[in-house]
Amino acid sequence: MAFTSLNFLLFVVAVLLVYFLVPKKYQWVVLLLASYAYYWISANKLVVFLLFTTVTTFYTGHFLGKSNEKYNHLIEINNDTLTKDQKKILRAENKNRKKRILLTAVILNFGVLAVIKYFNFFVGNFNALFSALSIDTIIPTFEFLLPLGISFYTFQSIGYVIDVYRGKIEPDRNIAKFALFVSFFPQIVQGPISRYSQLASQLYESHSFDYTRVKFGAQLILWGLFKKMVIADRLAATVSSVFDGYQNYAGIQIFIGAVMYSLQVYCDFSGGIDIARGIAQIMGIDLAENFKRPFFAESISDFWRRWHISLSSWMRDYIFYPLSLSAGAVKLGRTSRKIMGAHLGKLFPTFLAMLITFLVVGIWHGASWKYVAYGLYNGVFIFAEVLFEPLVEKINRKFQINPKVFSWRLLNIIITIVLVSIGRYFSHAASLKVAVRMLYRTVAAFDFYDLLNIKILQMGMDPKDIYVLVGAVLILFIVGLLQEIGISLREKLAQQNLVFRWSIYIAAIFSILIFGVYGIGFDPVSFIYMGF
Amino acid sequence: MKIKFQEIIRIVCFGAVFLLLLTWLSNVFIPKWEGKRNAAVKVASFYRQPTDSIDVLFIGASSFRSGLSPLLMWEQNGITSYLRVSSRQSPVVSYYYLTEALKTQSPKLVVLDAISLFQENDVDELEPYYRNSIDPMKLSVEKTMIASYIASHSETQNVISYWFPLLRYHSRWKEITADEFRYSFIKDYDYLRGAFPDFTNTPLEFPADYMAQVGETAQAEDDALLYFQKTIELCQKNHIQVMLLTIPRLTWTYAKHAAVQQLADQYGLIYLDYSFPEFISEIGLNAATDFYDQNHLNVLGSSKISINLGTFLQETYGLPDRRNDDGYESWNVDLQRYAEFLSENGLSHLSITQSGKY
Repeated sequence: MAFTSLNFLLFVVAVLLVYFLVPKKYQWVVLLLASYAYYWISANKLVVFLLFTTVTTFYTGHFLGKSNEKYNHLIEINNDTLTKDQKKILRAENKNRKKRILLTAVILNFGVLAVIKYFNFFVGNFNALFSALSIDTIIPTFEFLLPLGISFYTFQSIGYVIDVYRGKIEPDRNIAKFALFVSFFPQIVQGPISRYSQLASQLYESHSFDYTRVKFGAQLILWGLFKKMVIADRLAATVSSVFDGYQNYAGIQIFIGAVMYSLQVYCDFSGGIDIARGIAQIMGIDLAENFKRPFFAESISDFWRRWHISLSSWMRDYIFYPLSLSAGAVKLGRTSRKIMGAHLGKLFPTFLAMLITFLVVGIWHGASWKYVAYGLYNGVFIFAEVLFEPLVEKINRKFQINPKVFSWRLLNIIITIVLVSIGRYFSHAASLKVAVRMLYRTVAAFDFYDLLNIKILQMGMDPKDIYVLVGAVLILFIVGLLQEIGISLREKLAQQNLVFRWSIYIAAIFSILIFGVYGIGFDPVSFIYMGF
Repeated sequence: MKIKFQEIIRIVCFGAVFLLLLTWLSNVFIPKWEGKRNAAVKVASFYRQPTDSIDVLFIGASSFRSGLSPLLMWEQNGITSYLRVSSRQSPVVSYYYLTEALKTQSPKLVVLDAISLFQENDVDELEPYYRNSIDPMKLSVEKTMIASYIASHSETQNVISYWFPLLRYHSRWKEITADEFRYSFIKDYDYLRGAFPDFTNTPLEFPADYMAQVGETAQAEDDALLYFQKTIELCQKNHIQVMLLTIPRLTWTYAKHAAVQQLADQYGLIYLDYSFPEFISEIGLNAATDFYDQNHLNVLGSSKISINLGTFLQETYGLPDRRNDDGYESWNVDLQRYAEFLSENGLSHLSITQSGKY
């Protein structure tokens, strides 16, 4: 059931009606049933994977809690008799026990993910290695069906057990409620990857119908549909045509195709998130923001602070910090400072941690070398920013560049968009090889005069579609700009008179209904008709 | 649920404004079919017939549309009739056209197009024809029933897009013209009452094996038969007489005739098949002058059939002659208009009538 389908719309309306009509204490049950119904309709029997993750992570939390209880109990009743050293031992024992429990859960869940999503990738690489080494062994590959949203709910659940392990949250005592936390239907397909501390209580609490909230939620859904259906889906055909048949395109066209893909993936992904957040908001549940106008980013690191925030913050909290703050990293830092000097040596462990983090970010997107390259590509830029920061500051001082002025920031924004779009070659091309060939062709088949050739710049799109696209992107830009300077459009709109407000809503709905790309298309030839 | 009265009013009002606009824009976006195939005005004009003013309902496909003339039957016999026709009409549509008609009319006779029995029923391939039949219908249970029949036989179509065709035709925004917006406020009236007289002529000949193609078999389509039967049974339940009719066409066969006859016998109905050579010579139908293509009569063929049929219907079913009744004045006005229309197209009204009388 796609977010933009009529069936999904009807499903949501039905769920909302039931949600607000049942006694409040059963509201969470409605959400749980709706979430599993949604999962069952979309993924059918693969629901067992969702159940597996739910049960294993719930009991991991449970056992982690038990371990703590046991430790606390021992300390409590023997507080007077235990020596300091004995207490230390008990604490270490508890820690080790918890580590083992945590590790089991992590291995189990990432194991499932690894087998389903990455098994063929690893096997394929091993087979290639074997054949390169003339070893006559071929490991068979399997076609796995990917359970819907597995990358999202696995990371969300693992985040939960790590938080319990770290003592940041108490383990959940109710497996049914916890199942809702893992499966909440608006976010299961594409996130945001929520934190237990932020989401769970909101899901379990009761919520009354609130007109203003419903209105804001509906607006968010509309905005998401607009981005998805008017912009992203309109770009889809041209983008696929470029990435599937880049040989037929001029250098500049391939690059434009990559920029278009950047825009498509942003509008599609953030649009989906807006729909998810809108649905949740109507029910009184605030989902974390996942995007903060990434096309206003002034550097790659700024971009990642604005792009898929729930994933990058997950990676930061659960991979980057543990790695860079680990005892090993501290030790490595000491050594590297001796060898590489103060600046580079201090950064070296961070660099390694960052590299690993972005490697994981890359692989999270999918099992392919192109995603590895995509992760590294981003990691390298972010590290370069940190590494060259003193140098850049020096240059700025020397040439009296003020990095805070508009023109300089605009330049940085444009450069960032270009770099991000080049990154898209890796994430969207069929393979790493194709991505490299596309990059090569972009440069090799680049002709300056193409920049002046309207026909080339049209990318084979219908001019009318281009007008709609330009108009829609302009709206996207203006809304983004207003948000950047801190103006909340929704609140401003809410202050206007009814006629104006309604006109805006009606215009928004009909621009989606008319200009949205959906349905089976209209073939005038099969409809034998004529103008009159 | 805590919701204030004022908020409910707001939601309802907003919904109403939205639905109103959606309905209007749907009308604007419905593709405008080529004149003779366009069921829009014919379907809409049926709603404008005075209540209980139609004695005979012809329900069927294009062969009725080109082969029958209600105004001529009025002129000759004082019969009030209406053609509920649409291109390649499926019996599913026919059935609901009838149930819808029975809300406002109490016909004494319903005449069904036998050709519809053999209408294939691929709802996706025939979508344009279904759309053309249904889009102009008022929002009603009947419309919804046809749409849900289609939706249940299709992967891609849904009922809501039949309620609000904008959802189906939205991609026409690229080609929509200002005229289409203007046209959405104009309510044309089909004074021909469903007929479409064609003034072109393709000179044809009856083939040597006319109606008797070797190896020809005829099997009614399953759902077509089902809904055909439902239509007949509905009429019989409402004490409305039913007749089956075939307008001559060069591709008609004895096998098909036999299949229709069998059904007629099953329900005790009259089946009048004008395709038979003896009928053709009786009414003086001429393949060289009276067809516009091999399956459709032109205006000359249509008047020959209509004049003969009018008399037959009146004698067989005892239909009243309404020519002197009050409340039927518009028929004479429209007949006059038809005469003018014919003369504009180079035919004198008289010659048409006389050609029918041979």
